[in-house]
This record gives sequence, C-alpha cells and structure tokens, in this order.
Amino acid sequence: MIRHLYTLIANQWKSNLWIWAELFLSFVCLYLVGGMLLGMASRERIDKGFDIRHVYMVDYAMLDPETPGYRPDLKFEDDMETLAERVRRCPGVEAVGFTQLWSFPYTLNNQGQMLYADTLAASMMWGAITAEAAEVFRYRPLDGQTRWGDLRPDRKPILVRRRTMNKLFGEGAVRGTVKLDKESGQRYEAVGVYGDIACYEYDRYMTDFAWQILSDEELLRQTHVYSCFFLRVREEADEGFAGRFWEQMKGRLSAGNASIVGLTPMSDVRRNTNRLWGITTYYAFASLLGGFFLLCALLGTLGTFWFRTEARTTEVGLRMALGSTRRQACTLYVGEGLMLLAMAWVPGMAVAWLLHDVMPAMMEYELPMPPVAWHFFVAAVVTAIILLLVLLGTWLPARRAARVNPVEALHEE
Amino acid sequence: MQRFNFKQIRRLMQEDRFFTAAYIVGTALSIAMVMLVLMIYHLRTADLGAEGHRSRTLRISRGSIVSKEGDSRCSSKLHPATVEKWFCPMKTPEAVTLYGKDVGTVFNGRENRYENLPLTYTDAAYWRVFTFRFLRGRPFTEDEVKGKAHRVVVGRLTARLLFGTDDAVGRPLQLYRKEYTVCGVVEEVPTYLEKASSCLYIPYTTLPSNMDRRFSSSNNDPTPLGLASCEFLLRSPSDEAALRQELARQVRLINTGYTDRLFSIGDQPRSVSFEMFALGDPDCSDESLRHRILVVTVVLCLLLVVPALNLSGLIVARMRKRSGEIAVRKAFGASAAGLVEQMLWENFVQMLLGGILGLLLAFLLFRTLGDSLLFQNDFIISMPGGVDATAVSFWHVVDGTTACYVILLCFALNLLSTLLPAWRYARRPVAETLNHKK
Repeated sequence: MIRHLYTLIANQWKSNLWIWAELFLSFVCLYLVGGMLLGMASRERIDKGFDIRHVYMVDYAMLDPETPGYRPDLKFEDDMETLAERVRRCPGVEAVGFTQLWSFPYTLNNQGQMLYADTLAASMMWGAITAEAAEVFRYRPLDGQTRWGDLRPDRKPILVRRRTMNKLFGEGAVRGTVKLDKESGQRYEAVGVYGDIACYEYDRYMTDFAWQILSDEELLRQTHVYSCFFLRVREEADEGFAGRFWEQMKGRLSAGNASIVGLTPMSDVRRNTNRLWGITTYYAFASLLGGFFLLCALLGTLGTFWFRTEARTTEVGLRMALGSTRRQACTLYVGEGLMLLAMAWVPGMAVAWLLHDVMPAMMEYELPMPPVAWHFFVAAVVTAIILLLVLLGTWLPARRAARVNPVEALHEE
Repeated sequence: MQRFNFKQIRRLMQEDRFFTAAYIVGTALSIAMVMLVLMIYHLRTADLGAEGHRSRTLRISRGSIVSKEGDSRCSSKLHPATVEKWFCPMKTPEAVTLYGKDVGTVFNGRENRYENLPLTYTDAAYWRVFTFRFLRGRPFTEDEVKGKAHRVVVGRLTARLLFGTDDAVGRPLQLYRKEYTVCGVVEEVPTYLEKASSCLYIPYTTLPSNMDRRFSSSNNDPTPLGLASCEFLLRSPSDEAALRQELARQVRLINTGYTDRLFSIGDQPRSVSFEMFALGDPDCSDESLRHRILVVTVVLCLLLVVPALNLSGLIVARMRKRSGEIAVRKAFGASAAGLVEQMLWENFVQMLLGGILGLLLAFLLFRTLGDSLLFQNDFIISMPGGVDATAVSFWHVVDGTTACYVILLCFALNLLSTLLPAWRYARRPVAETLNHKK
C-alpha cells in the first residue's frame, strides 16, 4: 500500500511539489510558533511563590500642604495606620498590608542591592513589606512553619526566595545571615520562601528578591509616600466586594491628610503589566500566526486534493468498477495526503531539530523541561494538529470523489 | 484585449467557483496577516489624530541613577521637577512637555458610583506637542499650571459619562478630594494613540503631594526620578543631533548637583519607530533592535511565501485542467509571454478581490482583538463602559497608504505564486500538451 501511494505521488511529483513545500514550511513555522506559545503558557504554571487572587491595591491620596484643611501636625504613618485599621474592620477583609512601591508582585519599578553571605554575593531586587503584606500575598516559608507575624524585628528578617538561598547558602538552606556590604557589621536574617520568580512570571532575567519585613509604622515612616497599600478579601466575600467596600467605608475614607480614593484588583495590575511588557501582544500575535499557518495548511491540502479528485474521476470509476468499495477509494486519497505529510514531516523534523536550540534563545525564558524533551513535546503537539488538518483536508474531497457513480465516470471517458 | 480579458476572467470565476473561492480566501488570509503587521507599524508611527506630530517628536521615558560605588541602581520615569527645570528651557526643540499617567477615581453622580478613569497630568506645552481637537472650551494655560489652578480637560465620552452632555465646560469634578473645574472638552483619543489617550487631563502641579513627590519627599533628598515622561517636539526631524548635544549638556549639569550618584538617560530620547521595535525598553541595544527587525522581516516573508506556495499549487491544478485551451491558443499563434501575461492578469484581478477582503479582514481582526495587538509603551488602564476608546478607527487603518500597501502586496504575491507555473505551462510544446491532455 505504502509503495503504491509513493508511486502515485512520485508520478505527479511536479504538482505535489507545491503542497509538499507548503506542508514542510507550515510544519516548521508551526513548530516555532507552537513552541513559543507553549513556552509562554508554561510560565503561567510555574510556582510564583505568591497569590494575587482576591487581593486589591488600595489607591490613596494625600492632601497638599497648601490645601485648606491640611493638618501639618499629623504624621503620614498615623493617618495611614488609621485607614488600615478601618479597612481591616471592613467585612470580608482578611488581611491588610503595606509594601514599598517596588516590592509587590507586578510592580513596574525596581531597586537593586547586593547581598553578601560570607564570601558569596548575589545581586537582587531590594525592598520592604510588612508582615501582614506577606500574608496578603501569601508568601510561603521554606521551613513550612514560620509565621510572618512572629519574626523578631531586632533580627532584621528579610524574605529571600529559594533560588537565592541556594546561591548564597547552598542547596536546601532555609535560613541564613546576610550583610548589605562586606565591611558592615549590620546583619540580616534571611528567611527562605518558595517561588521561582521575583514578582513577574514573564521576567526574562529571573530576578532574585530580598524583601525586608518591617512593622507598619516603620515601613510607612521610612518609605512615606513610596508606600503601597493592599488588602486581601476572603474568597467567599470577593464577589461584588468593591461595591460593598465603598458603601461600608462611606464617611470613613479619610483620616487626617490621607484618603482612600480607589480600589484596583491585582488582576488588573497584572493585566496592565502584561500589556506594558508586551505579553498580551505576544500572545495575540503568536495565536494569529499559528492560526494562519494552520489555515494555510488546510486550504493547501483541501485545494490540491479537490482538483486532484476532479481530475482523477475516471480512475476512481475504474477502480470501483473493478471491485473497490467507496471506502477504499476514500482511503486511497487520504493515504496519499498522509504520505505527502510524512514526506514533508521527515525534513520538517530535521529542520525543527536544528532550530530547537534557537527557540529558548528567541524566547529568552527558561523552558519547563530540558531542550531535547521540549523539542519532542512541541513536535508531537504540532504533528498531531497538522495530522488532523491533513486528514480533514483530504477526507472532504475524497468523500466527494468516492460518491461518483462508476458507470457515469467511465461513460464520460 | 483588456476588455476581452476582463470578460474571460469573469467567466472563469463563474465556471470554477471552488478555485475562485479558494484563491480569494488564500489571498485574503495572506494579505490580512501582512496588513496586520503593516497596520500596526502605521498606527504606531504615522502622524495620526491627536498624535499628529509623531514624525518630529522624541521621548525620554526613563532615567536611572547608579551609585558611584556601582552597588545600587534605581530606574524609573522622570521627576516632573527634573523635566521642568532642566529640559523644558531647552532651545533646540520647538516645544517640550512633561506628562504622566495615573488612575483618577471620580464620583459619577449620574450613576451614583465611583469610576476609575485614566488620567494624564501634564503642562501647558502638552497641547502644542499633541494635536487635540477641542469641541468645547480651551486647554489650561501656562499661568494656570504655574498657579496650580484646579482645571481639568475631559474627553467627549467622559463628559457624557459624568455629566450626560458634551457641553461640560464650567462643571465641577471631584478628584483627589479637590474640586476641579472642566475648562475644555476634547474629541476622544483612541487608546492606541497612547501618549495622548486619556479621559482626564489635569495640570501636573495640582497632583497630591504623595504623587508628584514620590521618590523624594521622604527626606527632602531631591532625585531626578519620578513618574513622568518627557516629549520633545522638534522644528524639523533633522534637529535630532542638535537636541542630543543639548541634552547631553543638560544631563552633565544635573550630575554636577550629585556627589554620590550618577543620573543617566542612556541613548534617549527615542523616536516612535524605535519605541515600536524596542517594545518599551528605552535601553534596548542596537543588536537587539536589529534582531527584532530581522524577525519581523522573516515573518513578513513567510506570510507571503507560505500562501504563495498554496496558491501556486492551486494554479498548477487549474493549469492542468486548462492545458487544452492553452495548447489551442498556442496553436493559433499566441506567444508564451502573451499567455503568461494573460494568466498574471487573470490571477491579479482575483487577487485584488482577495486583497480587499484581506484588508477588511485585518480591520475586523483589529476591531475584534482590540488594542491587544498593539504593544503599549505606557500605562493604560481599562476604561469603564461608555468611554471605551480601544476600537481602531477605520480611517486610521484604511487610507491611501494602506491601499497602496495592498496593491503592492497583491502584485508581489501574484508574481510569487503565478509566474513559475504559468511560465512552465506556456512554454510546453503544443503537441506534448495536447497529447498529455488526451
């Protein structure tokens, strides 16, 4: 059968060349686009180490010193703590916390710092959060038992992610002591947390982070208007929370010179960051390109086989007159299509193999599995999809051809 | 000859409906995808609507501070005071503006709810650098900016959302716990013109102190970083070199004020074309930029070559069907070149139909996918219903330039897909063709 199909294709090699070239190119292009899409999608599944579901960023505004009603005697941290206390008492709110402008998930700002542990050093994003903010974003300790509120402030605790802990203290370390510069006597207690990213799953540079744990008062005093205000809502209370929040907080939205002026779900903050870093565009384009190459492969196969079945009506009629069933006639065309795909697939896989090293470099991301395993995974997915398309593209014209009445077909001849 | 051709083309299209449909859809797909890329380039870089001076504007969107020891680095947008003090007085550009984006939470009295609206804080030069169309009132003036007057310019849809009318001039609006007065209403700017797009525009001097003094107010330590961008409007695009020289002088002057750190703007300011390929990274290296342009070029070629192969396959299949006709015409004296020309014309007409369909398809894709196809260089929040200006304007994407693109693309695609099969069949000896047909 295979030999027969090969002979059929070889006999018409000039007209098969075009569809072969298209299937070959479509396979290679789909391999690249599919690989990138799957690679990007795999980033969504990595352990981020934090959870932004049911978390809101609380937007606040401060009165200007020249505004009527401004109270110069009031401290920023006192006003903000009063507001935080009111928000804490709002029904449905689970936790309220503060971070610096550059130390929360999906922030667009950053500040760098070197950390030293004995002779080893690592560069990372540096910032501060409150213990309750660690609860808001659900950072998880590596030792599984540390409670963020119980950390002793005098030991200057900082949250450091697992990768950095391994880099500074060796594989499996959950705690350690670090300094901000080699000569300084000031020591910080590094507490390891889970998570493979600092604050953004599409971070190309896999940045490390170190967040100091400060009290509300200390963070607000140190950071002042760099502070960001967050709340976590209980899962069951999240539906329609924003509307209820404004109702329940009516008349209590201002404290001294500070006021709450907005509530932004962290999902919106993430969406905005994704847009700003081009992730949304990347997904949209890669999906469109993938769809385009798939449609081209389908149209090409469909068009070629449509004309082929028309041109070979007599042949089908003769085969049927000699005893072939409609099913066998149909199988012949589908088999021809699959044979063509196989002939395009072999060099396509060879080119894909040559490109498998290029893909991680093009994506600039770490892949979820070793490059060789990734190559075969992507190739398998793309092969399965293109196989389905070729089956569809050949089966439709073949079905039409197999309906021919042998008497009429031979009569025309 | 032409009339004959058109009649024949029409007959051929009617006779072979499957071929016509497959050919037009195949062309439309290719043209739609290529046009999508070209339209993005067009929307991002052409002088359009409120961003009518793009060809002669340059932007600084980020600055960085590195400690002298090199162990600490901080990067962000610029502080309004930095732009105001060091960049606004520059002589080379025609105008310099500073602007930043935020979310303004305003109370919507008509719906009795709070609305989060995109807000731009800026200066008076903004209205010169960008080309807004004022429907009512006027922009805020330099004196009003300096005098911290609580004036606000709103978009037309925002005026309708908040006040139920376009004529909102003089109406009060509560923002950051202060009362602003609407001084102008502008034609809504679509979000893909991201520098000009917003619902509310206020003088930057009226921002709450925690916003314009972020990065510096905690310890009275002045830093040049903040949350604003700086846009230069050049008198002519050729002034770029002079502007860069003057900017370098200004940055040196800024750094004379610091002993422990170094302020830098890298290779900025950047043009809109650069920003498009740099994907929001003002420090994008030339190598990285070249790599991206190469990727886009390869993708564009593939978008033409893959469908061209598809169409060639279809043409070959049809040629076999028409080989008898071709042989008879040759027997009656038609030249090979004449036959190739005829086939090119036949396919070009069908391809043009596909091209028009492709252009419409590209526009529909834009409408469906919204501005997620357009990379955002700046902070944009989703707008509430009623002021959603993400839809791409038909006349921004379909104009003389894009029509020319379509015709050129059809021409290129036609040559790629038709020339080789047509030439092969036109050169075959008559006897062989007729024999083969038999």
